[in-house]
Amino acid sequence: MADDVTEPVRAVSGPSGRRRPRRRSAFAPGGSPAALLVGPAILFLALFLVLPLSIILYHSLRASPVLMQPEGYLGLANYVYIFGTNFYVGVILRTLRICAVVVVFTLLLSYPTALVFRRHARLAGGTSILILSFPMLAGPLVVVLGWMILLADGGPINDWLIALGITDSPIEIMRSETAIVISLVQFTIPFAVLNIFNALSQIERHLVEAAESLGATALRRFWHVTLPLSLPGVLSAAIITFSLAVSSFIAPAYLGGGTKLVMTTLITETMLGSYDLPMASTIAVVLLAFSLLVVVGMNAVMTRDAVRR
Amino acid sequence: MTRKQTRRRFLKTSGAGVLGTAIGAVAAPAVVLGQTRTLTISTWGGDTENAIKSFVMPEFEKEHDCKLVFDIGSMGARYNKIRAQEGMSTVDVFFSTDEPVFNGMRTDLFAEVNPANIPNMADLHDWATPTGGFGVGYGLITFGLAYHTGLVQNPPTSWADLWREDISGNLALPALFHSLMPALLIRTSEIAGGGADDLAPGLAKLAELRPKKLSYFWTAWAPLLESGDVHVAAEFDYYIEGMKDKGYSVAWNNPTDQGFATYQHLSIPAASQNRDLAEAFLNAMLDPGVQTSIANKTYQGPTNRKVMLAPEVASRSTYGERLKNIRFFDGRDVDAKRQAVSEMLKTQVLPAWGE
Repeated sequence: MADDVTEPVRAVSGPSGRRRPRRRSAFAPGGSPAALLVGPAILFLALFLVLPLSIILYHSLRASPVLMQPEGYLGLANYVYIFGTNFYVGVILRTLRICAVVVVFTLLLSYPTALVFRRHARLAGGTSILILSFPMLAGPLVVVLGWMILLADGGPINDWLIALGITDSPIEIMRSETAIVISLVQFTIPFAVLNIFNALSQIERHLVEAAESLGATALRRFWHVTLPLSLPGVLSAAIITFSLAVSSFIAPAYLGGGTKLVMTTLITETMLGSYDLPMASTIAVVLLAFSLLVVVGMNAVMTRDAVRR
Repeated sequence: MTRKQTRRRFLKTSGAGVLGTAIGAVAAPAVVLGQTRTLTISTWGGDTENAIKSFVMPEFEKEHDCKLVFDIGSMGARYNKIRAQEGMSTVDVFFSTDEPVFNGMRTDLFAEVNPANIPNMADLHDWATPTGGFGVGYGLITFGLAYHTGLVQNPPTSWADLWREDISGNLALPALFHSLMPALLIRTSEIAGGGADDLAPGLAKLAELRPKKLSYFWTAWAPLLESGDVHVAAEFDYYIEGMKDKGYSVAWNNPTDQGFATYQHLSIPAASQNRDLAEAFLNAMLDPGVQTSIANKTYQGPTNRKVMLAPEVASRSTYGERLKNIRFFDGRDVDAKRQAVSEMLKTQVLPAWGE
């Protein structure tokens, strides 16, 4: 209420009719000092996010032993090395390429699904979403192990392709980017569908009905009413999908065959295998920077489009 | 009468709950610590952990009035944890190969053991103390050639067979930063006309292979062996013997040009507050009875000279005749070169494997 904000303390009548000052509610907007409310969360973030990230940033400025820098060196040598070495640039590009493809395919598959769920929400929407959410409950490891069996050269998918006469010999899907993309798309679809479904559910039905009453075809109603109004959901679905894809480790590690390194698997290998903390930290910082850039960029584009509309 | 749930009551109840939980969390370990000493064992899960729990833990806890707790994980993860915690690590005994111990010795991460407190050290083979006093080897395993018994008609018998046309594209190899990768690169260089100090021919020759899987642990490539994608794998002998017992169609050959000997090593972090107890644990792990039991269960070769394995176990372990045809690499040298070797593999071999 506006009064609560502009007049936080005011006299009210008690049960006895005696007027006493009403206390500010801890749960009401503007009730308690904001710092007290956000303080614990800020402190938690500072301790367990900002502090570790600062330490990683510090380590990234120490030279990797590979670079033979003098003892005590602090600088950008690791970054210069990474961006000047084809291998590392290739891994960064592969990571971003896989994420982009995953986001596109996930959104393309999720949007129509969410539309159908929304349309039939009363009949089977909840059940469908529950079924769709199963991969989230099973976890990425179980999902990936399933794909390892399905996509193997001697696996069922290749058997079907050969039986259908599509190919004479098994296609090597495992240890390819395709395998990683397939697995990630499957894993991220439920997250995207849920976000888009929520956005679609919030669209006032009478807006679509109004467009219909004015003679708009189904396609025009979708293009001019449903799609623009659901874009916030699409944006959040895209951001979540990208975040899940860029931070995924299990799918690239198991389906990429160990040869299709992405940034997460490269960090792990560098850290756990060659004990090179400075280089692993540098790759982690680069991964974080690219992720932030992409998410902020996506947000900016979608927001700009929304404002234009 | 139903009590109305007010905000104040809610806050009181939840506050008391949080406080109680916090007090419980702080007090519980103190109570345990007050009763008995705790020895923290950092080790691999699975066979090794089970072997400790079966063959060492019950008697050791009873004899020393202590409690063993485990920190389970891959060697790299556990080693990096000790490094990150530096002097604050609570680990008392660290299971690994010898290589990270050499790495840790550079920064005084591990302590020298006192042989006087580990009487069983007197019975060890000459080769069983590779780190020169910074721990002991309690087991020996060999890295060699595994193959699918149904799919491979002509089993590989030497490292050079990896480049055979029927094998080079159906391979599982150690991951790029696997502890045995430097050894494989050195052997490959020798095959290609180079050597430990001339790795360029080895890098080029390794790049000719087309591995289907790079892994740290056999479970990563086992599904591909079953599906027929992987025919041959470079792997440890004792893993393969375990796979046989689990029903996999797999066999293992010690290459005629020598398998790579690998220590199962025990060391004590310098930060350990239970040095005496840790040394007693090392002594227990070197006991002939314990080593026999571990070999019988897991096929890890013993390091104690007094261990006499039954023929059916001996033939499946790094023991007896196999000891005559294995190659020991200098762990200190491998550790010194590791990061450079890893970088070369990453930039010169992996791009070819990823094509």
